[in-house]
Amino acid sequence: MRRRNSRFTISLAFVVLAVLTLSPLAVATGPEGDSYLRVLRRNSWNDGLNAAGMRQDTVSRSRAELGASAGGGDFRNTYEAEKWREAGASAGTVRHLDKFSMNGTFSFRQTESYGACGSMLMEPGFYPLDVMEFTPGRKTFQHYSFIGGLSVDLGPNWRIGGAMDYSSRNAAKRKDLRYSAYRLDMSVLPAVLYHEGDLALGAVLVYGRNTETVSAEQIGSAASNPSAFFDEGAMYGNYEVWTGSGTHLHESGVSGLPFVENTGGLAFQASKGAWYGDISLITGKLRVGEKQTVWYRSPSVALEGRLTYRMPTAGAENCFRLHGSWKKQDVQRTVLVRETVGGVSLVKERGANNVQIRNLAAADFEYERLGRLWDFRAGLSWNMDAVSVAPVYPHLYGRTVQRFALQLLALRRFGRVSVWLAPSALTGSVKETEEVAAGVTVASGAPYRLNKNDYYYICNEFDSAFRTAVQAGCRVELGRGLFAGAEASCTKAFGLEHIAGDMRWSAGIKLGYDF
Amino acid sequence: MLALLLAACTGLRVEDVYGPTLHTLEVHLSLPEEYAGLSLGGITVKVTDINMEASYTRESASDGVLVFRLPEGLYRLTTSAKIGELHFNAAKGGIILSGSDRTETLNLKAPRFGDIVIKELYNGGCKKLPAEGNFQSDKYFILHNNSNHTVFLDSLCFGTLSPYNSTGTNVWGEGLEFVPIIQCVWQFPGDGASFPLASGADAVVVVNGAVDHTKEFPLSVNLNNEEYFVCYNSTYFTNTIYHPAPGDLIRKDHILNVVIKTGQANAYPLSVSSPTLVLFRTEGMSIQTFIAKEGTVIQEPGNSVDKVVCVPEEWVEDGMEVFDGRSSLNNKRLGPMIDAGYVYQSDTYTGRSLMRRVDTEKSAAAGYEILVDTNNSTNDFYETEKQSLHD
Repeated sequence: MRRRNSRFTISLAFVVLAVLTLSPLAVATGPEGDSYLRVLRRNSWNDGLNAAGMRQDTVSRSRAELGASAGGGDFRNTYEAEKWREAGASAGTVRHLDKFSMNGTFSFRQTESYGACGSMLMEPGFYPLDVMEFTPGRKTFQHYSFIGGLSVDLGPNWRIGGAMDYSSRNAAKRKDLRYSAYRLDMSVLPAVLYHEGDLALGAVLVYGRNTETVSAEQIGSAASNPSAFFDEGAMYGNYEVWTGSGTHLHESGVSGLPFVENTGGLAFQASKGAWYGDISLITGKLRVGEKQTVWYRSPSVALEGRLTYRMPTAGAENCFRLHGSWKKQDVQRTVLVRETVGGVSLVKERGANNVQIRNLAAADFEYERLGRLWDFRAGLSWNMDAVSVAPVYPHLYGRTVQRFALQLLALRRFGRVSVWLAPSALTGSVKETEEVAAGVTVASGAPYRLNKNDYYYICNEFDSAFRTAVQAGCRVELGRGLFAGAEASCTKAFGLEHIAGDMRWSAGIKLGYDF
Repeated sequence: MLALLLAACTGLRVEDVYGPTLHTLEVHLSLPEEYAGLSLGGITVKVTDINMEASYTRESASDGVLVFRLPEGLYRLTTSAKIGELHFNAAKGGIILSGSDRTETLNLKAPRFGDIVIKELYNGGCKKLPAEGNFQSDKYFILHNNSNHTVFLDSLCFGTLSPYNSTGTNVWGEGLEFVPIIQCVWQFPGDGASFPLASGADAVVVVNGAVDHTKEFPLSVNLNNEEYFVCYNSTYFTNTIYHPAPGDLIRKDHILNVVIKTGQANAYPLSVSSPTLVLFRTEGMSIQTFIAKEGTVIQEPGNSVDKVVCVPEEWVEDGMEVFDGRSSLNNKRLGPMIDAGYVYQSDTYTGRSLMRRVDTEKSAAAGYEILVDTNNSTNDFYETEKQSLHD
């Protein structure tokens, strides 16, 4: 199985963060008191991008499960819902046969969220730009995901493999400003692996594409039209009626607000005995807009690496994981000029200016012990999101967010019953800078920064407030591979001044079958 | 290592980010020959990034040269200058700054200030609340006598320019010496002394629907008034949604004449989002004589149906240019002699109106209302929350 957090983005750190802050999509992945995920975690090659590496293990497992969860609470970011409900199904397998191995997962999840507004994108923070609306309402999310991989022996020392990861998400909001959003993530990863004895070397070619389109609409009649905000970074941008050209939601000749990114790169892996290491370099090209009307372009480069050491002891396996990543995105705002030739108007791109330079970095260290009765995990993580925003010359603004997190997990098996507890803590800081070049008289005033409904303060506080969280759960083996599980979590934050509440909770149940 | 990474990621300066795309725009001011001896120093020129609506100002050196250092973009230059007691305007758009430095010449022109000015333009419509939908059949504008003597409205003409909207394709380019009036020329009736307008007095001209709209749409206005003038012609504009029969209070001699209809519309099309409006009087001949002359009514380029009346700029008493506040693709239609700037209408169907500012100092000194008139709508006009005729 290709884990979401082994993708070539900085998502690992944010998944950790998501778990700690109990965003709805994270609760479904509770710690494994079970065999399927343990089988995956004990093969370090499953953490990387090389599908051919799945044959470094020999144990086959499969699982299918249904689950439902709900949550709420006022300790949330501007784009999160007051409360939510979710249900879904998933199935996964890893199978090793004589000459080849294969793995795959399929999942579907539907989430209903209430009192939600803010970002209209499905993964706020994934793109360096954002668009927001401000009328809380009900939002529906659907998420389909398919991951498949294959590893084939070409001889005694060579394997080839490949993986495809496909995810489709859609969202709909039914209150003005109503909108629908469609997101597609796809990656194709052909791979090769050479192995001799306990040495294995691998290489992967990476191609990915992600797209997201937001289509807004107003149906009802009100005294004034709803407003929207297009964020060019650190909440500097355009706040106006949603049909205004600055929000890019209602542009003539463009269908909705489209984001399209193509990524490509290389990844290399090596393992020797108990050691495993990999490194990947991925470049990307993002455009916002379509056809002749592209408002922003953003090239990016991402470097990611991990190092794993497995140390078996009597009755248990110990694993040390070190992971680091860095991504740089430069965002350029294009200069679009409408030119009329022979009575036909065309929009042409006549230049571009830097509007944002973004650096994302993360590092985390984890120790894991998988034993017969006890599993234990401890992790430390750090991540940074630093943006320099240049909305209007000669103003330059900087915003750097740093977060530190500590996670613990303890799981105990009592025959057919497993119980686990995972406390965690997170703290952060937000630092801002401003520079204005001298000698330039700006008649139009300083750039606009959104602070509607205290959004700016809420975002800063959510990014930096100290919080503790506890997740707990249990799993009961019902016999013949059937199992049932329940889990709950609670987060409490401290020292809040702007966010309405200091608690966030969630609870879920699942029913599954391991085979 | 982390400290080094942090420093590298967060230590950017203005020149690091803007530097690669900054270029120089050098502007040379020039005056008409008859004013060649005047000083060009100390004139404030504004350069506006059309897509961003960010604007920068600088003052000219004594030789009339200004140097701006700007990021890449599409720019417009505007100025309204006073040299001694003389006023000058200039505007130039479509300046693409990209890849290299650029030099531009800005030609100052002496605008004409008429006695009658546009005081208010309400064209954006309103909501039909409590019913659903939008309403725009209640457009009007108000004229004001800005002079110290009585002026007669008789034979005054008005019209709107091609293209109807500021975001439409402008086939005329810059440097025109006429204003292309499209669709229709309206004219006040009278024998020359029928409709006096005293100093500081106003006259309301109803473009659509001289009835009491507030009975059905409370956010609209009551345009049924015996003092108001009306654009109504059941022969040429047959659309009764926009041109219902005038209310019972409207005087028959207050109905404007259609001098010439050059388009196919069945309702007079004053843009709801971004119109232009010009007032003009002919010189040396009547408007009827003018339009009969060859070359004064021409086909609109690229349009096989509509024609325009080419009214000389010198005949224009007043004009105003409205830009659509929702768009970044607005183009100027009026030249700097008539209107060097533009006023934004933020949104349609909000009940908002565009009002000319009052010159409180001059008004206090003169004893009657005098409105600001620099032939630059950017300075002269502002947007109000609701129509002045709204109760």
